[in-house]
Amino acid sequence: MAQRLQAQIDKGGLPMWLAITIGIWAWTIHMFFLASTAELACRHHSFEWVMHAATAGLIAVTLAGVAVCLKMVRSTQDSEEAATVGGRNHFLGLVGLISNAFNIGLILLEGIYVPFLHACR
Amino acid sequence: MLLTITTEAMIFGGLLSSYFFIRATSKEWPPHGIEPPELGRIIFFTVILLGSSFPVIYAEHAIKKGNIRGLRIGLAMAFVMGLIFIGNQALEYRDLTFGWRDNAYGSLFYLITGLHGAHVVGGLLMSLVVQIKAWTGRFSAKRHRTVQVFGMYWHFVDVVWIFVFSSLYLSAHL
Repeated sequence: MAQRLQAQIDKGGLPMWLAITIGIWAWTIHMFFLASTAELACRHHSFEWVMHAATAGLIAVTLAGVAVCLKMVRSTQDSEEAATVGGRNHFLGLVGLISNAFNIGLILLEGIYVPFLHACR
Repeated sequence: MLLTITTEAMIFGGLLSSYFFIRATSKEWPPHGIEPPELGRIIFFTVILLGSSFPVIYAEHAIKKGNIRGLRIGLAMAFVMGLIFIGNQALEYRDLTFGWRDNAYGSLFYLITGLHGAHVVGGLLMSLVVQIKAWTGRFSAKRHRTVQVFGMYWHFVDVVWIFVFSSLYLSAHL
């Protein structure tokens, strides 16, 4: 499993790019989901649990991206200037770590409003 | 292309969220005097747009096997279907009873559908370039990255429409 993942990372294919951008996708989906179901949550308050579940689920998915990016950073000692596959992975892994961490913060921030703000009550 | 698509998804995600935000804070939706969008016609053209992904998939499979003719047919079919969809959008704009400056609903409706339409037009232009390359023999079973990149973009435009259609057209009737 770990070897297959490393092979995918070295290949520079879709799984690698997904791991780097997963936080942005998760944040977009989270924002859209919460905004589109706010009216429903007003009518059925129990739906708030689905919103919390979405927040937790999307954070978990982003954390998986963080794990892959961490692996990319740790798997090589090459610097990004080395112009090697390892150097590229190191740089992109760092980009993914920063982006995913930032997006986890955004998802949390969006999720926090659910129990505290009750605009429809 | 994945990074471009990610950025585009953020833009659409933001716009659609603002649509729902304004909707949730409004007493009446769509605003007084505006009928919810007609569904029958748009469902037909939605099927056409979403269906246009299949010829693109066919074209991608065809070129992987070195079938240039299949590639040309698939791309041409998707192009015509996209053109039909965008033609309907132009006609729909002509028939709408509200303008983009009338209220927030109008602004968001025109902005979101217009932005999506612009992406379809962008996809059609990309398709033209890919078709010209296909007709001039630039692709082979081993060399067809442009077709894959175009396919990714076209599928994305179709997936975005599912969200736009559900949000602006379907949900307005709920």
